[in-house]
Order: sequence, then structure tokens, then C-alpha cells
Amino acid sequence: MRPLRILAVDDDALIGIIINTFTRQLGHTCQLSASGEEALDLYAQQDFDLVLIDRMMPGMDGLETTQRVRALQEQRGWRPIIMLSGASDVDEQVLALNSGCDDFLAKPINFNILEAKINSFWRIADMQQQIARNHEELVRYANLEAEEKRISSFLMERLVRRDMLDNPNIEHYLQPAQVVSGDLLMVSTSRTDDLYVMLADATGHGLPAALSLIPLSQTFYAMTAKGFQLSSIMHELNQQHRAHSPSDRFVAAIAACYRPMDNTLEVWNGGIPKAFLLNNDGEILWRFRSANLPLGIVDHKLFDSSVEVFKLPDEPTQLFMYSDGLIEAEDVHGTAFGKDRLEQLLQQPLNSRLATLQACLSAHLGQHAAHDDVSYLQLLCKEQSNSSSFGQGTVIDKGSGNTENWNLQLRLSAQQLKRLDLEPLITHFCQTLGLEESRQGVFGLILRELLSNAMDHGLLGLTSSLKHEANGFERYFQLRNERLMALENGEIQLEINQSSDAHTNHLSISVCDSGPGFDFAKLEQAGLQNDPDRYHGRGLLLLSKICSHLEFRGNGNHVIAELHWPSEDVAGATHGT
Amino acid sequence: MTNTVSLHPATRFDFNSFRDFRRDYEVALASPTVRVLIVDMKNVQYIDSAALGILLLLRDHAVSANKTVEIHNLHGIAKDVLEIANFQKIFTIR
Repeated sequence: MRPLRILAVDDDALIGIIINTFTRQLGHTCQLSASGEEALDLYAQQDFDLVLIDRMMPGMDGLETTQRVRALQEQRGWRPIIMLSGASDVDEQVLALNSGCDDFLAKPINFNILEAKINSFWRIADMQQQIARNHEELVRYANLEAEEKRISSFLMERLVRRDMLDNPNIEHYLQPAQVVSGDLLMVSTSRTDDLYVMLADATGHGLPAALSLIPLSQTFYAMTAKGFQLSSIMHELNQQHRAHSPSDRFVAAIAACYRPMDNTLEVWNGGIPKAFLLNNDGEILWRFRSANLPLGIVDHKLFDSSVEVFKLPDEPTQLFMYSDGLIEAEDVHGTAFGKDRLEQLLQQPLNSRLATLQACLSAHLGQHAAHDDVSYLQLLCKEQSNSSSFGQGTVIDKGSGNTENWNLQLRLSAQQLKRLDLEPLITHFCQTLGLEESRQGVFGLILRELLSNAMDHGLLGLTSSLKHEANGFERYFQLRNERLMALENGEIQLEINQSSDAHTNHLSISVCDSGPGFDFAKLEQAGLQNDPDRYHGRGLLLLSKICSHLEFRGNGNHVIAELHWPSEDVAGATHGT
Repeated sequence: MTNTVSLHPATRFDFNSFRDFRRDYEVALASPTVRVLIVDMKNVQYIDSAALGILLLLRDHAVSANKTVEIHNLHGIAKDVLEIANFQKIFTIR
């Protein structure tokens, strides 16, 4: 404890000198004052830890001096005041204490008692200082926390990308437990109109949660926009999280990709409660249970990024996903909302489903705030017919100037084919070379179809008729994974060419695989239009509608797809003439 | 067995119970004779994601100390939570 700074107020100079000498012997400093007026001036200018005031003084007496020092202390903080008085009767002591001093000492001064009282107030002063320091510290922490909340709110707001969530095929709800949530909903659409959604639930809340979600959301938006496979995306998200967060911070997540062209749904679930696939009547068609560890727990060797692929029925369906905060939300009695109640509520027609769920949740919670974040998302899956505006529109629309000429040739062996997610990689490369912007969507679609035909039917020997059998779709993908893992030989040669002449732009994609090919002559005889079902699996009907020209060569293991569109008419483009 | 140690997380296994739990497991990790740490979940009525993080930390420390972690007597909500998170893939659960 540091020495005390004492102010002694007494009109008797001798007593002042004695107190001064005595307190200095105790190791404190002492300042003397001969009157109340002088003491107030001193107190206003300097800091003291303890004040000794004589009761009887000419002019301002001890009682008034005490009251005025107390008034000064209202701004400067409380310090103990001891009154010294010649009169030692009880009334006198009560009067002194009532005037606002903290203790009373009778004259003649007993120095043992004075020392004991000084020591006692010394300890109190020390405690006071400690409390003041703690208080300051608390205020500092409160300010820091408010600042952190502000920053994390800002971050989460940016990560959510409301423009993407406002999608006609998405309905969502997100209620953070605190100001800042650990739940994040993300929606993104690729160039080929594939719809990706993801619900992520990070460990904890606030800034740590927001920080761990930044790299994930950046990766999600970037890779989905380029049309990467869902399993490639999940693999990368796991790597990103491990690279940026400590090992006890993980992110439970469910992600899905809906491809309206083939009406398939891919789902990866790591640590999120079962998601439901429902039809318009509210029948539960499938449950996508958590089959994986959450993101960021194991390294890439142990991480399982395989997705569940689901061929959707012809009727419209909905995928409903939610974070555990929804079923754990407690009412005033501590009863959880419960997964059984949720499952029951979901089994009703589409048009009333979410409204009823929301009403029941509000009634359940009442004024009571949920303990954890509550979030859910419903994705509407509506098949797009093959002859949709996508294929037609891009062929009819106006040209966009003369394209740049370039040519890209790639020869890919089994090792690369096993490892790489080719379509986004090649599309990105072609964009860099100068792939015409208005053709990028249709280009990605054609490339994907051709590559998957070359892979699945050419190198892996899968027959598409398998997909038409009961459970054939799941079996097909299982078989595909097994054969891809075992693939050692084989290659795909790819040549992409963009060119233009005076009237027309050309884009050609040639894919040649080392497989046995197929009897394309028979296909051409039958006519694509007349027998669409037969070749459904090869996506050839779609390709023949989108492409300006589609041609098979060799044994049918070489296919060339071409797109033609008019060059911009220079005269016509000159506006207003 | 002398080479196993049982750890008993609090009824409410969350971030607030971290300090006590860590104190217990650090003692066990420091002991050269201990080979297996058993997290006994018998009394656990509630578990949150922070507690799952604590189990992951414990697993990391145990691996580097050449020990293993087992989770015993899972039931109720804690069982559901660990199953959804697929912790059986990285922990021995009995």
C-alpha cells in the first residue's frame, strides 16, 4: 500500500505540528491548514487520501468544513474524514458523525488510537482504489465488447449477402440468439442456373464465430459461382476452416445443390440435424441425415466430402433445412420445441407450411428469447424442362460484337481426371482466354455434359439405362465413385476453339475419350426427337437443342459440339442513326 | 485398471464448465502411466458446441501425449448431439 496523503486542519499550530510529526513517522505525508477556508482551497487544488478536521475553529468550524469537503468530494470521489474534538460526550460525537464525517477522535489525542484509525482507513482507501481500478477495467471491457459486437454485426451482415437470399426459390428465417449470430445462411446461383444453398452453424457466437465464417463464405460464393461440384466445395471449405481456426472451433454445416436441368439434388450434411425433402402435400420423401463430421475437425485425408445425390420425382419438391437452435428453443417452462413437433408441423401443404411453423414457434417462445440461434431455410425444387428458355434464349439473342480468336487443347490422363473438378477449371481458363460472356452459361452446360459422357460412359463404362431402374440413380453414383477410384488408364482429349468471321461467331468444343464409343449411327437413324427417353441419360437431347451443330466421329467416342451466333452488325449498332 | 482415468464433466457441459474439466484432464495427461482417458457422460444432461470443441481439444492433447480418449455412458441429448456431429468417427464411444 502506498503512503497516505493527509490533510490536517486545526487552528492550534502546536497540535498541527504534533500531528505532522507523528504521521510522517508513520511514513505518510501531511499538509497543515490553520482554518476551514484555507483547507477548502488546498483540497480544491490537491489530492488527499485522509482528512483530519478539528471541531472547534474560529470562522468556519469543523462541522461546516466537513460538509464543504464532502461537497467537493462529490466530483472527486469519496475520502475518509476524521473529526477531532475536545468535547467527548455522546451528543457531540453524534453531531460530528451526522455532519458527514466518518469517524471521531476525542482530544487530547491518544496517538495509539489515531494510528489505529489511520491504518484502518488506509486499508479502506486501498480497497477503494482497487474497486475504482476494477470499475475502470469493467468499463473498458464493456466498451471493447460493444465494439466487437458492432464489428461482428457488420461482418455477419456482409457475409449474409441478402441480395442472394432474396431468391424466388428460397424461403428463410434467421433469428440470432444475441446481437450476433453463429448461424449463417448462404444462397448462390451458378452460371448454369444451378442453385446452391448452405446453412452453417459456427461454434459460439459473436466475433469468433463471425471470423471463422469469413473464409468459408468467401470460398462458398466464389466456388459456387464458378459451378464447382458440391463435394469439391465441401472439401475446400474443410481445408479453409482448418487453415484459419483453432481445433476446438468447428462449423456444423449442411449444403445442397439443386440442378433444375436434370432435376437432381445433391446434399452434404456434417453436424446439422436431418434435412427433409417434402412434396407439395407435405409428405416426407427423404431425410438427409448428418453423415459427416462438421467442417474443420479432420484433415483432408480423413475428411469425407462425398455427397448424397438424389434424383427428384416429377412433382415439385422442397428441401427444408434447419439448425439445432430451432428444436432446442425453450418456452418459459424450459420445454424444448422438439424435433417430433417440427416433423409433424412440416407435414402439411406447401402454401401453409412455413406460416404455421412460424406461428407455432412464436407461440412457443412467447416473450422468452431463444437460447441459441434459430434458423431455417426452404429450397423450392422445380424442374426446368429441357426446352426451356435457357437453351432457346441464348441461341436467339443478339450477338455481342466480334469475339476474340483462340484455341485451347488439353490432354488429361486418368490421374488428373480422378483429381480435378474439370468443368469450372476449364470454363475459368476459357474466360481468361476471352470466352464470349454471353455464351459462358451455355458453354459450361455443354462442357459438363460432354465431359460427364466421356467420363461416365467412355472411361468408366457405365450404362445410363441403370438410372431408370428402381434406386438406379443412387446405384449409378455409387458405381461411378467405385470405378473412378479404381481408374488407372484412359485419357480425354479436349479442344476448344473460338473464332469469328464477318457475320458469325463460332465456338466449338471437341471431346474425345479413349473408351470404346457407342453406336451413334443407330441414334441418328432413330432420331433424337422421336425417341428422347432412350438416350435421356446421355443428355444428348438437351445438347442437340442447345447446340447449333452436334456431331459424332470415330466409334462415337469423339463428339464435337458447335455454337454459332451472329456477329454484331456494326452499322446496326450505331445508335440513333 | 490403473492406466485409465475417468473424467466427469458437469451436468451442464458447456463453456462455463471448461476450467474444472481442463484442470482434471491436464492432471491425467501429465501422468505417464495413464494410457486411456475416459470421459464419463453419465451425469451430463446438456451439452453445447463449445463442449464439443473442448472434447476436440482434449483429443488433440491426448494424441500428442500418445494417449487415447474414450467417451462412455452417453445418453439423452448429449447422445443425439454427438451422433449428429458424427463424433463416433473420431472417438471411441462405449
